[in-house]
Amino acid sequence: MAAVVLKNITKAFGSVVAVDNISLEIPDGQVTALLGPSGCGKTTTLLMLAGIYQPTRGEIFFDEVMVNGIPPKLRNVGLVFQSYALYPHMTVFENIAFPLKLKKVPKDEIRQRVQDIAKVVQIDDLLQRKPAQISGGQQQRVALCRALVKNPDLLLLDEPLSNLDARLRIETRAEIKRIQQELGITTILVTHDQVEAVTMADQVAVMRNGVIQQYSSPEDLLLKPANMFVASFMGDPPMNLMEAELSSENGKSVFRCGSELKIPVPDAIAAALQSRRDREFILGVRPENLELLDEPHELAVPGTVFMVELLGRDKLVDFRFGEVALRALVPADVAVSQGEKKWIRPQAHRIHLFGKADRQAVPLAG
Amino acid sequence: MAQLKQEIAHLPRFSPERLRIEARKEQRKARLLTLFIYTFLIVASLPIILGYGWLVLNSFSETLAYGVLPKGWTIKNFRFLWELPSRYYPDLWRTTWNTLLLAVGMTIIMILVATPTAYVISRMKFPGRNMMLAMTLILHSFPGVTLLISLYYVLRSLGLLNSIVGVFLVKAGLMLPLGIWIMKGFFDNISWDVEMSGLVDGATRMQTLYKIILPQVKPGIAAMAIFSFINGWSEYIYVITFIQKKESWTLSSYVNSIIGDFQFIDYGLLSATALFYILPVLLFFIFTQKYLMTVTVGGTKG
Ligand SMILES: Nc1ncnc2c1ncn2[C@@H]1O[C@H](COP(=O)(O)OP(=O)(O)OP(=O)(O)O)[C@@H](O)[C@H]1O
Ligand SMILES: [Mg+2]
Repeated sequence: MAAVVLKNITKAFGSVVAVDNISLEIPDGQVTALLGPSGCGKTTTLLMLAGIYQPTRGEIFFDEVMVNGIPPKLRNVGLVFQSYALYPHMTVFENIAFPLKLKKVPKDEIRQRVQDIAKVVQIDDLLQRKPAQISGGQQQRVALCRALVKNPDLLLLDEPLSNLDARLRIETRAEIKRIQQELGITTILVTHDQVEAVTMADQVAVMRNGVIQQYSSPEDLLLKPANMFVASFMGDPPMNLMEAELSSENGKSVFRCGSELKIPVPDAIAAALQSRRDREFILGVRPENLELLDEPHELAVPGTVFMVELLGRDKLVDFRFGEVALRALVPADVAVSQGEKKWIRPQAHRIHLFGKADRQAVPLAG
Repeated sequence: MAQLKQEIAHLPRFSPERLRIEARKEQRKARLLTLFIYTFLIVASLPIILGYGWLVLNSFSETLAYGVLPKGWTIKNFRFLWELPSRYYPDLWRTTWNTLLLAVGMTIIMILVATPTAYVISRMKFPGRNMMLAMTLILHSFPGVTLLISLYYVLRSLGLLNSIVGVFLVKAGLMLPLGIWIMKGFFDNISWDVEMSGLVDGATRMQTLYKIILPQVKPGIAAMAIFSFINGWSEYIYVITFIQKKESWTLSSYVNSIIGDFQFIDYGLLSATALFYILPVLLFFIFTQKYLMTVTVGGTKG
């Protein structure tokens, strides 16, 4: 088992900078997720950890040992490729057994270990087939077995569940988590699915264009997004984000959002903003942090329901204020209908502000 | 047809009646097409079938009636297998051995040189790579005949005239580019991920090549080997041009001399030797065509 440290890692392919000066400390025995949109450098980072790519600059440490230049063979890393990368000419059994054969593990032990691991992910009846003769989801599980069977010190998973159906995904997710905890393998999980990252990982690094945007616990990612990108990337349905200008009206501070929406500023936020020069921000509030009231309230905004959308257990209630839209998420049993008048109150401690120029989070007390 | 049209004109669209008639029409069309295809193929292959049929019959017959029809059944045409047809001829088995050497030599050099070269070209970036690719293709597109005279001088200056080795080197030089191109295509089809996966699983680069990459290009290697063998076995123009010495003849010079040396061509002998020349290739092809087919039909999917 290994703690992994990346120090100022950069990887460039010619003029394309795939990974740009990232530093990460990945704790021993935990699951760390790399989360980000397509092309942000997740796979490149994994391949550097596996020793396939050499970083252009920077250093990688496994348990304080610098591993730059150490070949993959010596790193004892298990890697599940995005494309599975199964060996087409070998049977499923031979695929899973391959790493053990190279380690010269005795034949009987190989058979035992392959069968055990195959049983865990329910592919033990497919061992004699070739990869071309099994489904995509089954191939993915074969790849998982091949990575796990050698008891790696570091397990790297590149979108390991993307091809499974919803039920199998939940099962396999739990299974990976169980194996990981049982063996205490340090695991790095690459995904662009935030639910997967949030449910499986102890900490999440959000990447964009080769740069780490935020590295924190899943809760902090949702509650304290470090910048506007993380705020908009995380959460479903997405956060309401709008330009807001701090001004005062009748002696009270309000955020002016477009021409028709004025959101009263809670006292705590007003106090926190006092020392700042800038008056223009991006205001963000998640749909689930908007309360709908029937009566006026000093921190609430009156609005007319524009549209109601039923999302399973919740309802998404859409308000329009000129060009600005506000969406609130309420339980499905709340009675609300189109054209109805409501008072919308953002929860004071769930309002996020980002600098208009730098898009970084503005620290608010609490 | 016209009658059918009349029959369905009054029927509503999509009535079962109409569908049935349409289906019958389609069937008739398909049958006609099949008939046409078969007729065409039979006519087109007739010259080849007749030619080889004549060759086989003739090799077992005494004389030709009216100059073309084989007549009288004998095996004396095959005397050349155990005695020299005349003192002008080299020993048949020695000639066969030379031919085999050329064919097997071609096969081996193609496998040993084209495979690793193609792997490197497919996988590695190095200065001049594209240039090299273009050159190999251009080299291959020269008609071999245009090089005959210059190659003759080259071989003479190297002292390789009249030797199988000389012909072998020339052939190898001209064939390798094609082999490299074919093999490069096979290597290109293997994803990098599979190779990386091998490395992560604990293999060295060499082990990855032997255990993961090469098994996947086996159909390509097989096809190239078969192709080179047949190509070497049937080489004609370079053998005739560069080899006069009888000890170094191959079967193509042997057959060639039967056509050229006698005043009256002994068609029986010619047919018999030709049959002897063709037979190994034919057998070889029958036994290996399975590999050739996988290549043309399914790419690397062996
Ligand atoms: N071998 C390479 N040569 C050149 N550019 C590359 C290479 N590999 C990756 N890149 C580029 O580097 C960037 C990051 O690629 P990477 O594969 O790491 O993305 P990713 O985050 O894994 O995306 P996805 O979620 O789509 O898999 C991309 O812009 C990609 O085009
Ligand atoms: Mg990727």
